[in-house]
Amino acid sequence: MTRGALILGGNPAGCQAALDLADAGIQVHLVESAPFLGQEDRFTLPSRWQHTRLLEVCKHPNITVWTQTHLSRVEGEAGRFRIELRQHPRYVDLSKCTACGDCLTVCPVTVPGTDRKAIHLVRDGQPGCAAIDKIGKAPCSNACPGGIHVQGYVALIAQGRFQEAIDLIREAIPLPGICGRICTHPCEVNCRRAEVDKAVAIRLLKRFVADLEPVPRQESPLPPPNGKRVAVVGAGPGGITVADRLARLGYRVTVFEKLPVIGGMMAVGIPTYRLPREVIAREYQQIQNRGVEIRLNTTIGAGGDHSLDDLFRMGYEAICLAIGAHRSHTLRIPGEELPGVVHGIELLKVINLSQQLDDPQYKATLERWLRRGAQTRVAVLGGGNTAMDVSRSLRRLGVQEVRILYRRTRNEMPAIPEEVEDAEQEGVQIEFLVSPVRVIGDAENGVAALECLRMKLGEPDASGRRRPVPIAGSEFRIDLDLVVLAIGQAPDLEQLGEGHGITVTREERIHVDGVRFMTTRPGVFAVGDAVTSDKMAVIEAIGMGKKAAAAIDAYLQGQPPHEVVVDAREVPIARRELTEEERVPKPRVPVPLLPMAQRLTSYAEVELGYTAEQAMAEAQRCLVCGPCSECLACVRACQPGAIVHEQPERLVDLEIGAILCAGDPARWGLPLAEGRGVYRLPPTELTTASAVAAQVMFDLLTERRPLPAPGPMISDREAARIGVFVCQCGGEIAGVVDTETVRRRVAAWPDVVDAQVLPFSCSPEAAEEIWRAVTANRLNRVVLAACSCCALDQICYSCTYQRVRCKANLGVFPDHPSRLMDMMPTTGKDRTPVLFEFVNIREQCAWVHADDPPAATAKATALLAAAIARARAPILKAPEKPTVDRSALILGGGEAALACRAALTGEGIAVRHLEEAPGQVRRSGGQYQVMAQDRLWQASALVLIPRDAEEQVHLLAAFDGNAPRLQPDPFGNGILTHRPGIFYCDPALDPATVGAAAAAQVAAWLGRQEMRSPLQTALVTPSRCRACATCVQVCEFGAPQLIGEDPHRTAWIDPAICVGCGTCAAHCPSGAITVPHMSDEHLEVMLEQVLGR
Amino acid sequence: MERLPSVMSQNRVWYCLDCGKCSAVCPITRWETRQYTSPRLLVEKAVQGHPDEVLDDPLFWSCLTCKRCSELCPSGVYFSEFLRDARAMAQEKGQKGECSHSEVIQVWGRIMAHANPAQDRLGWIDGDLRVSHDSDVLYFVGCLPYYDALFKKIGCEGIEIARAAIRILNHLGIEPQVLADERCCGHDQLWEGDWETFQALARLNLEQIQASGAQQIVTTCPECARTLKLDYPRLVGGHPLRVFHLTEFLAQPGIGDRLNLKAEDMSPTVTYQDPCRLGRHLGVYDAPRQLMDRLGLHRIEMGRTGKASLCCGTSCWTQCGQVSKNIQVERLREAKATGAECLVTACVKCQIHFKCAQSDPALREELGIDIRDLTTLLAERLGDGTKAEPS
Repeated sequence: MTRGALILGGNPAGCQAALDLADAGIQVHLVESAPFLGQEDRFTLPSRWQHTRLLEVCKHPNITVWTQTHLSRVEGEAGRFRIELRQHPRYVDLSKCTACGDCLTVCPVTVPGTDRKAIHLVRDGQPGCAAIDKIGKAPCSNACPGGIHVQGYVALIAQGRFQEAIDLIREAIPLPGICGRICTHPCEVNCRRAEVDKAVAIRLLKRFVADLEPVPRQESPLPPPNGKRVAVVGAGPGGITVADRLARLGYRVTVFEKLPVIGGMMAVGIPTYRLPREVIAREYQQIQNRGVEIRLNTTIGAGGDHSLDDLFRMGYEAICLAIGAHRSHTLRIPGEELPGVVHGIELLKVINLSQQLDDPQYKATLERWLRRGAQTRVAVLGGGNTAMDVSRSLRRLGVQEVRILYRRTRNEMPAIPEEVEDAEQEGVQIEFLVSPVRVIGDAENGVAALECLRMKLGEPDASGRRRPVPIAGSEFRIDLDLVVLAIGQAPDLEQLGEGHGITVTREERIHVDGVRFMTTRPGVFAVGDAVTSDKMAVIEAIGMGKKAAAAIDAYLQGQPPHEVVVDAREVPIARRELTEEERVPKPRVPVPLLPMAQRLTSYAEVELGYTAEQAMAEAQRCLVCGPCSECLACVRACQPGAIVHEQPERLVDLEIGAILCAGDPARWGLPLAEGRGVYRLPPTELTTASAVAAQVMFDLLTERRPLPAPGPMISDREAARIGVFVCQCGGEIAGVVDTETVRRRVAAWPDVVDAQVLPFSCSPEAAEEIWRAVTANRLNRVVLAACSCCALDQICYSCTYQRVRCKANLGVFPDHPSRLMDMMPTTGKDRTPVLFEFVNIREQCAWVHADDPPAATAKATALLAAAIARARAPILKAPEKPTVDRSALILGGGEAALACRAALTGEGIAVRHLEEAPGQVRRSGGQYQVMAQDRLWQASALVLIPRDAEEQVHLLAAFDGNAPRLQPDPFGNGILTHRPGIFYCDPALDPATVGAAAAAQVAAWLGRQEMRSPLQTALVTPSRCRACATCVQVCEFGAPQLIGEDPHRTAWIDPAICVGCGTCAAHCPSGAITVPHMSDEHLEVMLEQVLGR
Repeated sequence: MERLPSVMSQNRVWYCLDCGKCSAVCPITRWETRQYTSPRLLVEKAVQGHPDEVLDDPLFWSCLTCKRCSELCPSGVYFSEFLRDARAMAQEKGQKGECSHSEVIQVWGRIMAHANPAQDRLGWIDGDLRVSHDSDVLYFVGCLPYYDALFKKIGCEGIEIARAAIRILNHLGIEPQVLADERCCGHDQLWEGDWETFQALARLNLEQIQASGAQQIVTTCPECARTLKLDYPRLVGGHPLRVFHLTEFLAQPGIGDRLNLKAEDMSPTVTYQDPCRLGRHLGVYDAPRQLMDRLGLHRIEMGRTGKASLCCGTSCWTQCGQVSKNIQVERLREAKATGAECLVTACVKCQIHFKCAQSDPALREELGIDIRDLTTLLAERLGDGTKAEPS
C-alpha cells in the first residue's frame, strides 16, 4: 500500500502543494470540508488560472479529492499515520452530473441567509457538479411514520406548485385526503417553527392539496401482474395500505372486510364532521382502480365466511391480518354491566352507521341508549380522541348535557388539543381529576348515577405521565342516564376461532416477527392495532402497512428477510441554529371554521380548509430545516439521473506518510501538533506551500511513482475505421440538434464503421459503450460530437469538469488511463491506439442556434463531416520525444541556493551548481545548456538564484538571445519564470523557503515531462520562418523560441513544452508552423467537407 | 505547360547568352540556401525543354520580379515577365506559391472580383479631407484600407498614406475623386499568375474609372501605378487617362512647386529605398528624390541605389520566409550603414516588409531605423496656403 500525503484544506496553498507533490509522483489525498475546492480562501490568481489549476487538481491521476470531508481519526506517527475520513454525502453523482442547472430551476428551497438554492453550483469552484445542501432529514419528515417528504411538499406548496406537492404525497401514502383531516400530525409536533411561535399547519396543507386534486390526473402505470395473490383482512388504513402497495408491485390483492362499509375504524370510529365519508370513498376508489378488490360483510375466521385455511386453499399465497382493535376495554367497576353503560366505540359505530346505511336497527339502538332524547344526561369516561368524538357527536344529536370525566388533568390528555378545544366550544363540559367508582342503577331502569372520587397527581407512572392518586373521602355522585366508556380498545381475536396457529401475546395482540411482520404461522402477516399495544394513528398504520407490504413482497419473492430494508439508513436530523430573521414570529394562518350555530345542527365538516393563497402563506412559514426538503423535484428534473438522495456517508481508512494542514488546524477538530510528519501551511501562501511540498517529497521519496508514459502513437498506415458518437447531453444538445438525423447522415460516409447517439457522453456508461464499439468494430479513430472542443492533453480556461471527465473516461489524457473507472486505456499492449477527434456541437450548434434547430442540425452535421474528414486525413509525423532526465542546474548562490540544492538532492534529482556567471544559455533536445569554466553544463531544469537585484539582472541577461526576454512570472510566487523548466528564487523572499519551493517546482515539472506526448507538438519549417517572434508572443506556454544566428534564425517549438493548441500556427504570418493534428491540409479537407465540395 | 515555348518567345528567353550576370545580382540566388537557384539556371531548364524542372525550381514562385536581372541582361531577356506569364500557366494547372497570412490577402482580391463585394471604401475620408465627384483628378487608393487590418500592429502607416495624399492634393486646390467601390488593381494576381481574377478586377475598375470622367489618375502605390498605366491597356482595355504616382504628379511643373512647405529646424538624415515598380518598372527615380530635396531632408544614398537598388524582398504575398527575411535584413543593414535616421520609401509594401523584418527581437536594435512613406512625410510639412505661381 502506498502511503501518500494527506492535505487538509482545498485552499490555494493546499492545491499548490497537492499539484507539486502529485506531479512529482506522490499520491495525494486532498481533503476539503466544503463541497467545492477553492471557495474559502480565494486564489490571488486571475480567475482563468484558478479555474485551470482546480481542474488540474480534480483531473490529476495522483490526487484524490475528498470534498465535504472531515478528519475523524488520526493515529500513528510520521511515515505511518492511520487516518479515518468521514465524507458527508454530496447527494449528486460526480460521474454523471452535467452541471446543466435544470435542478436549480426546479428546487423550491432557498437556503436561509443566502440567495442560493438547496441544490447549487458555484462559479470558479470544482468539482463543477451540483451539490445538495442537506444537513439531514427535516424533523417533520423524520417524524412522519408514513415516510412522507413533509418539508418537500410544504416547500412546493409555498411556491404554489400544488400538483407536484400532491404527487409527492401520493408517492408515499395512499390516503392524503384522510390524513389531511384526521392525522395526529407528528410532523407538526416536531416542527421547529413551534420554537418561535406555532408549528406550521402541515396537516391542513396536505388537506388543501389533496382536495385540490381529488383524483390524480395521471396514474403512474402499474407493472404487469405477477400472478401472485394476497388476501388482506380488514379494510382500515393499515390493511388498505398493504393492499395498495402490493397492487402497485403487481400482486392481485383481495381485501375482506367484516363491516358493511369500507374504511375500518375511520368509517365507524370517526365522526363525519371530522372526516366526510366522500373523502374515504374517493381515496378508496383510487385504490380499487389499481385492481384491489374489497369484499364487504365478509368475516374471516373459523366461525366466519372463510377460515385462514380456506384462504390459502383459495389460492392466496399470503394473508395479512389488519383487523384493528374494535373491542373496548372495560373499567372493571361495579355496575358496568348495567344497561345504559355503553362503549364509546360502539356508540360511534352506531351513530356513524345510522348515517351511512339505511338500516333501522342502528337508529333503534341509538334511541334506546338516548332514552330521554335531548334531555339524556351523559358522562363520557376517558381523555382520548374517542371521548372527544363521542361527546361532540352527542352534542350534534342534540344531547344537552354531555360531560367528560377524566382522571388526570388537561396536560395528560391523549386527545389532540384542537379536538379538546373544539369540544369545549361546542358545549361539552370536561371535569378533570375525577375517577369513577361504581355505576348506580338497576337492570330494569338502567343507569341512575355514577359515583366518583376526586384525584390528585402523584409520581409519574410507566407512561411518564403523573399517576392519579385518589383523595380519601372525596366521593360524590353524578346523576346520569348514560355512561360511555372511552378508555381504549383491543383487537377482537375471537373471530379467528380455534386452530388458527397464531400466537397471541399477553397484551392480547398478535405476535409478529419484528422485521418480517409475519405471525407464528408462515405466510400469515399482521399489521396495525392488531399487533401493537399502543393505539395507532392512521398515519402510523399506513407506515406499518408500507413496511409490511415490503416484507410480504420479500417473502413471496423468496428474499431473505434481512434484505427487506425499507429505510434503514441512519440519517441525522437536521437541526441548525435559527437566524435572527427566522426568529421573528409570523402567526399561523387561521383556518376557516364552520360557524358554531351550524355545527351543532349538522354533521358538516367543521374545518373548511385553506384557500390557495392561505396555503401558500402558511407554507411559507416553514423554516426549511433540511435545508434540502427532499421534494425530489431535482430527481425528476435531472436527465442524467445524477441525484442520489439516499447517498450514504462514507468512512474511509487511509495509511498516510505525511499530513499537510493548509489553514487553521482547528477547523479539523483534531489535535494536529506540528511535528514530524505534520506540516502547517498558511492558506494563501503558495511559496510556503511549495517549500513544504519539497520537504514532504524528501520524507516520502520511496513512495514516488513516476507518472505513466504515453502509449504508442496511431499510425497513418492503417486504413481509417471511424466510429462516430453524437452526444445528446439530455436536452442541452438534443433539444435543438436533431441528433438522430445527424447520426443517420454521418453513418453513410466513407470509413464510418459505426455511428451512435449517446445520451450523455461524459458518463462512465458512455465511455464503456465507446470502448465496446472500439473493440467490437476494431475502430482506430473515434469522432465524438459533444461539448469538448479538442482532444488535446491540456486544460484551458474553457474546459469544464465534464469535458475533463469525458476525456479522462476515454483515456484521452496520457497520464490518465483509468481514473474515474476501471477501463481500458487508450493504448495497451494488445490494443490498437485510437485517434480521438472532438467536435463541440453544444456551444457551436445547440446554443448559438437555439432559435433555429434545422440550422443547428445542419451545422452539427457539417462540423462532424469536417472532423471525420480530418480523422481520415494522414497524420503528419511527430517529432522525437525529447530526452528529459531528472537533473537540475543551479545558477547563482547564497543561502537559497544551499536550501534548493539540499531539497533537490532530497528529491532524488541530480543537481549541479554553478556559482559563476554563465555565458549564453541554450536549449537543445530537452536540455538547457550553459557554457562555463570552459565546458558545457547541461540539465533538464534550471534554477536561477540571484543573491540580489543586481545579480538577477545579470543572470536573466544570459538568456537575451532568446525572445522574449526571460522574466519572472508576476503570478509565479517568486519561483516561476515565463519559461517552463527555468525557475528562479526571488532574492526578496526568505531564502530557505524560496529555495525549497523552487526545488519542489523543479520536481513537479520534471514529473510532468515524463508523460508528455509528442504528437501534439507544433513543428516549424525553418525555410518559411521569418523569426518575427509572433509565435513567441502568442504562446501561453512559452514553447516557441527563436534559435540560431543570422542568417539562419528560426523559431523552434520546444516539444517538451508545447501542448499542440495551434495558436502559433494560426498567427504565423508566413505559414511556417504546422500542428500535425491540425495542419493546413487537415483544414483544407475540413473546409471542403463543410462547403460540400 | 505546352505553351511554355511561346511564352519564352514573347519574353526573349531564347536570347539568353548564359553570361550569368543575372545570377550575380539576383537576391534570391544569394539567400536561397536549400538548393542552388538562379535566373540563368531556370532559363537554362526552360531552354533545354524541361518544363517540370522549371516549375519545381524554387525561383519559379519566389522570384520577386524586381527586374534587377533585366537591368544587366545584355540580351534583353524579360525574365520577370517570363515568370509572370509562366506562372499563369502553372495556376491553370492548379499550382500556386506558398501564401503568407494564410492566403487572406489573395482571398480579399477574389472577394473584390465579385460584382458586389459590400466594402466600405470611403470610411477613412474624414475630418478636413475634401473629395469631389467631378474633379479632373482621380485618386486611386489601392489596398491601404485593407492593410490596416493586418499591419497596423507592426507600425505600418497604412491608410495614413492615403489621408496624406488627399491632404497634399487639397493643399494644391485639388479635391480629387475617389471611387466608391474601388477594387484591388490586380497587380499581385497578375504577377502570381491568377489572370482570371486580375481581369475581373481590372474590368470592374475600368468601368468606374471611365464613368468618373476624370482625366488623370494619381496613386500612392507604385504597383497600382504600373498596373493601371501599363497592364490595363495591354491586357484588358485602354483608357484615355494619364496615370501618375503621386511623386511623379508633383514633379510636374506648376504643380509640386506650388507646395508651401514649412521649414524644419531639425531635418532628419534620410536614405531612400527605390520601389522596384516605381524605379525599374516605371523608370521613376528622380521625382521622389526632388521632393525629398524640397523638404530639405539630408539624403544619403545607399551603395546600391536607383537602377541597382535591392528589392524589399517579398512580392505578391507569397514565398515569404527565411530568404525574404535575409534580403530585408541585408537591405536594412545597408540603410543603417549610411548613418541615416530614416529610411524613406514610396511604396507601402516596402514599408511592411522592412518593418516585419525589424520584429526579430535579436535584430531589433541592430536594424532599428525609422521607416516612413514619402507621402506622409510630405503631408506633415505642408504650410498654410499654396505658394504663388512662379513667375
